[in-house]
Amino acid sequence: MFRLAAIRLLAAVPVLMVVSLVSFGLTLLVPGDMAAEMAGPSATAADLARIRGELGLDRPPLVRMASWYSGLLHGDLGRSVLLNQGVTEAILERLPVTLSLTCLALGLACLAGIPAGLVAAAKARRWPDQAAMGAALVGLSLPDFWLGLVLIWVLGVKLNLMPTGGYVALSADAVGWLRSITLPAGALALTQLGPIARMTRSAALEVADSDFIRTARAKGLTEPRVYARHVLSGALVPILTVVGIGFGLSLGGALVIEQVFSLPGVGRLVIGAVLRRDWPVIQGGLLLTALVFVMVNLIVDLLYLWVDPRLRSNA
Amino acid sequence: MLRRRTFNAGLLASAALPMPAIAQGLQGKRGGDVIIAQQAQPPTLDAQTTTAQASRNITLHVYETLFTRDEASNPKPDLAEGVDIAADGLTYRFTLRTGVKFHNGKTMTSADVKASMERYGRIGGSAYAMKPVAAIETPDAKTVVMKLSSVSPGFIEAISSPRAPFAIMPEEECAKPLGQPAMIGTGPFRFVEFRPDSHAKLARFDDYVPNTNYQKRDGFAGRKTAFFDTVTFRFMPEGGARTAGLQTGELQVLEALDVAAAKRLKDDKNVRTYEMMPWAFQTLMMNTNWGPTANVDIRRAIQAALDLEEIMAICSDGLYRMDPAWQYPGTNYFPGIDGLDAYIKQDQAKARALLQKAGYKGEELEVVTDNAFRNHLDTGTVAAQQLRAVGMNVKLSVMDWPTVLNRRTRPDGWNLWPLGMGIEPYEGPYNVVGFFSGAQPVQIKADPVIEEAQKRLTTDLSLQGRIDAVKQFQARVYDQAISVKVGDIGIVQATRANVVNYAPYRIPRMWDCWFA
Amino acid sequence: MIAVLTRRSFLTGLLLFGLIVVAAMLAGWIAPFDPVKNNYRYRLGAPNDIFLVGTDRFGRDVLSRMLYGARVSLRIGLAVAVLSGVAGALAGLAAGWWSRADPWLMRVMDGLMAFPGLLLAIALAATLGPSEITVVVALTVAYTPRTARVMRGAVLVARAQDYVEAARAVGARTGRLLRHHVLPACAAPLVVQQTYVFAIAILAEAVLSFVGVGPPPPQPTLGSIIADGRDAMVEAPWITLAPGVAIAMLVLGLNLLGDGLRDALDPRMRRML
Repeated sequence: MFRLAAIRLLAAVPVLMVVSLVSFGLTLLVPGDMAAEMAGPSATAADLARIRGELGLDRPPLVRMASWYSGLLHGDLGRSVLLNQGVTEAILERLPVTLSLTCLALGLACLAGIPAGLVAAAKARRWPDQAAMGAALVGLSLPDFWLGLVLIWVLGVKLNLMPTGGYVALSADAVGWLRSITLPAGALALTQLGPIARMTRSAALEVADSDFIRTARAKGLTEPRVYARHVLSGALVPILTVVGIGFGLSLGGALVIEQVFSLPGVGRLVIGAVLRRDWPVIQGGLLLTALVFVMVNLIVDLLYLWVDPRLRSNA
Repeated sequence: MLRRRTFNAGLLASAALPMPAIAQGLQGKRGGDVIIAQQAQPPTLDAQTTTAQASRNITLHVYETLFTRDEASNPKPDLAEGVDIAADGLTYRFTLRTGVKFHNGKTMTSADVKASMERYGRIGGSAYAMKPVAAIETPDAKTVVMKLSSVSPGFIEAISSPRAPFAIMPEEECAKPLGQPAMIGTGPFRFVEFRPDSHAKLARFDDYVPNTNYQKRDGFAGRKTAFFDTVTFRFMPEGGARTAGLQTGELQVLEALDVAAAKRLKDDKNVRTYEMMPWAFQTLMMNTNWGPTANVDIRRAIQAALDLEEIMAICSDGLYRMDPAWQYPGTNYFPGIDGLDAYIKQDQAKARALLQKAGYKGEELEVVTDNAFRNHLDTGTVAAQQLRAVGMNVKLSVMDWPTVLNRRTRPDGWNLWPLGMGIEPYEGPYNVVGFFSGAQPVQIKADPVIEEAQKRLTTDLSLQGRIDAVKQFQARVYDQAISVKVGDIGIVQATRANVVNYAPYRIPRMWDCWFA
Repeated sequence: MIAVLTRRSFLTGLLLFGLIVVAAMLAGWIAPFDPVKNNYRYRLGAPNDIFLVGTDRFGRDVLSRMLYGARVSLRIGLAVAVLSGVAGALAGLAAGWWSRADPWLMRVMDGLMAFPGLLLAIALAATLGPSEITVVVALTVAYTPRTARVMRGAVLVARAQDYVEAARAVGARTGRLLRHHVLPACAAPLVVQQTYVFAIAILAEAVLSFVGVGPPPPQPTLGSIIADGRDAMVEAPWITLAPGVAIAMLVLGLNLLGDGLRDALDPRMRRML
C-alpha cells in the first residue's frame, strides 16, 4: 500500500508540472498587470509606470518567473503585494473555507444520494426507483450558480431563514459556520447528488445479483439490512470512484459558488488573482488546488484497497 | 515676508474661517458593531497609492490629511490648523494641530508629515501634485514649510483631495515599500484586520483627538466623533446578496444600493435610502490618434449618432441627470452650458452625412470596455448599438480591468472607451482637464488648445482666469469631439433605520452616527 | 419492461431537447421582439400579455432573448462536444493503442483536468477577448481529458479482444485494424460520452457568461441573461428564473438522451460512465 502511495505521489509530479507550465504560459500571454488594479479606473500611463517601477513589474516576465521558481525550490510560494500577505499564508487562510464547502457538499450528496440509490435499486423499475432517479437527473441538470441565486432569494430574502452571504469560521462560532455554509454547500450538493445516486443504483443492482447476497438473504436477513450492509459494501468501489470525481468537480463548482455567496475561499482567491494579475497567487493557488486534487485521487485509490482487499494483489 | 492669507486665498472670495471651539462634541450613543457592504475589495490599504473607491471607503476612516474637503468639496484644514501662503505663492507654512495621536500612541509631529508627503511624491496616486514642491522643511515639531518651485494655485486643492488621500502616517512607516506600511493613522477608527475577499475591520480609536475648531462633521473635515465600537467592511460581489443582507438586517450600511432595489425599499420602515446626485460623470473617451476616430468628422458623427439619454437611463438604472457640462452645476468652476445644445441632440441624418463627408467605408471601430463596472459595460453596449444604427462597423470588446487599462493606455488598438469619473469632478477641474493633457493625454494625441487651458488652469492666480480655462477646455472638447460627456450618474446609499444621524457622502462615513 | 422504460425516458429527453432546439432554430420567426432592442422606458417590466416573460434592465424582451440565447448555448455546446470528441478520441486512441505514449499522454490529460476550466476561460478571454470562439476553445480544452479517458478505456478493451490480438499477431496493418475493429467498438461509448459533454458544456457556458467571459453583449446567451438579471433578483425574478429553467430543461433532455443512447447501444456501459 505504501508502495502504491509512493508511486502515485511520484506520478503527481508531472501533473503538477503541467499545471505550473500552463499557468506560466498564461502569465506570458495575458495582457495587463497588477498595477492596473492598484492605480484605479482613471489612472494615467504615468501612474502605471510609477507603480510598475516600485513593484518591480517592469522586469521581464521570464526573470520574474525564474525568481519565483527558485523560491519554490526552497518551499517559498512568494508574496502577494495586493494582499500584503505571503501566498502560502493567503492560501492556508482560505483552504478551510473551500474544504468545508466541498466536504460538506459531498457529505450531503452522499447522505442523500447513497440511500436514494439503494432504495432505487431495491425497488428497481417501480415508482420509488423512478422518483429517485428522476430527481437525481433533475439535480444533475441544474446550473449550480443559478440554484445558489434562487436559494438566496427564497431562503435568504423571502423566508429570511439563512444568511445571504459571508463566512463565519468554524473556530469562531460553530452554529454561525453551519448557517453560513449550508446554503452554498446545498447548492453544490444537489449537482453532485445525481451521479452518486445513479452510480449507487447501478452498482447495487449488479451486486444484488451476486452469490453472497443470495447467501445473506438465505440466512434470513431482512431486505433493508441486506441492502444497508452487504449490498452497500459490495458497491462501495464504484461509489467511491464517483465521490472522488465529484470532489474534483466540486472544487471547480466552488469557484462560482464562492462568488455567489461571497465566501472567502481558494476559488475566489484565485479568480480574483487572475482578474488582478497577481501572478504569485495564481501560481501558488493552482499548484495547491492541483495537489489537493491529486491527493484526493490518491486517498480514493487507497480507500479502494481498504474496501476491497481483492484489489491489493493487483497493486 | 509672509503675509497671512486664508488657505484658499485666491480661490474664492468667501473663505470660511474655522468655527469657534466648543467644549462638548456631538451627543450620541456609544457602542455597537456596524457592518457595511461594498462590492469591490480594496486593491490595497496603502491609502496614498490607490485611487480606488473600495480602498478610500476604508482608509479615510483610519487616516487623516493636512487639508481635506468639506461637505461642498471645498478644501478645509484637518490635521493642520491652517496655512500661511507667502505673497509670491511659493512658500506654504502649515501649522499642525498639537497633541494629535497616532494609533500606535505616538504624537504626530512635523517629521511624520514631511516623511508622509515625501513618500506621496514618490508613490502617491496623485503624485503630480507634489511636483512643484522643491523642499519640505520642519523648523519645529508643529510647523511644516513647503517650498514650491513654481506658482501652483491648485496646490491646496490637490493635496486636500481624497482621490488617493495624502495620508499622514508615522515617519517609520513611510520608509516601507508600496503596499506594506502598517495601517497606522490619526483617524477616529484604528485598523484591526484585513481578510481579503471577506472583510476589513476597524475599531474606535479611544485616544482620538478631534478637531475642536469645528462643532461637527463637515465632509471629510470637521469634528469627528466615533460612536461604534467596531466597523466592518464586508466585500460582497453580488448586488442581490447585498440588498438581501440590508433587508434582513445582517448588514447595516450599503455603500451603494441598486436603484431598482432602492425604489422597492423606499417605503420599508427598516431601511433608509439616501440618494446622491451627482455621483459621477459618465463619459465616452475617444482615441484621436488611431483608426476612424483620428478623423474629426467621424468623431463628430459619433457625437451626433448617440442618444445620450438612452445610454444614461440604462447605465445608471434610471438614476441620472442629463448634464453636458464638464464640471457640476453650482460648483466653483462650473463653465456653463451655453452653446452645447447643438452637440448633445441625437441626429442620425447628420451623423450619416458626416460619415459620408469623412469618406467612411466601414472601417472597424473598436469599443473597449471592462465588465467590472456595470455603467462602463452598459454604456459601451448601448453606444455600440447606436453607432451600428447609423451604419458604423463596431466591434465591442469586453475585457477584464487590467486588459482594458493596458489597451487604452496604448496609442492604438482602441477607438472608444467608456469611463465613469467619480472622484475627479468632485475634486474640481484639475484632474478632469489634466486627464486630457500632459505627456499622456487620455485621447492619446495632445491637443494644443487643451494644453493651453491646462497651463492656464494650473498657473493663473485669479479664479475667473481659471474658470475661463475650464470653459476653453469644454468648448474645445465639444468642438473637436474629443470625448463625449454622456451625463451625470447618481447613487443610492442606504442604512438600516436604526443608524441615527447618518449623512451620505463620498464614502459611507461611520463617524458622527450611532445605533438608536 | 426495460425497453419501455428506456424508450419513455429517451422520448422524454428527445421531447425536451427537441422542443428547445426547434424553438431556438425558429427564433427568427417566433420571437415576438428583436432580442437586442432596448426600451429604457420599460425596464424591469413584469411579465404581461405583450412581454410574456417580462423585460430586463435594458427593457429588452426576455422571451426573445431566451430564444436567441438558446441558439448560442446550443451552438457552443455542440461545438465543444464535437471538438473535444475529436481531440479526446485521438488522444485516447493514441494512449490506448501505443502503450509507450500512454503514461505521457495521460499525465498531460491529468494535468489539464487538474487545471480549473473556468480559470482557463477567464485567462483566454483576457488574452483573446471574450467571444464564442474563446468559450469553445476553453471548454474543449477542459473536457478533452475526460473523453480521452473514456476512449482510452474503450480502446484497451477492444485491443484485448481475441480477434484483434490474433490479427496483430498475423501482422495486420495498424491503420486497418483501427478502422475495422477498434474504432467501431469505441464509437458507442464515445457518442454517449459526448452527449453528456454537450450537456455539461451548456452548463459551463452559462457559468462563463455568468462571470462575464462569455460572448460579448448585447448578444444573449442563457447564462448572460441570468447574469444580467441577478442584481434585480428580488425586483424582477423572471429575468433570472426563466433562463435557468430553460438551461435545466435543455440539460435534462440531453442527459435523458444520453442515458437512452447508452442503454440502447451498450447496456454494459452503465458502469463506465
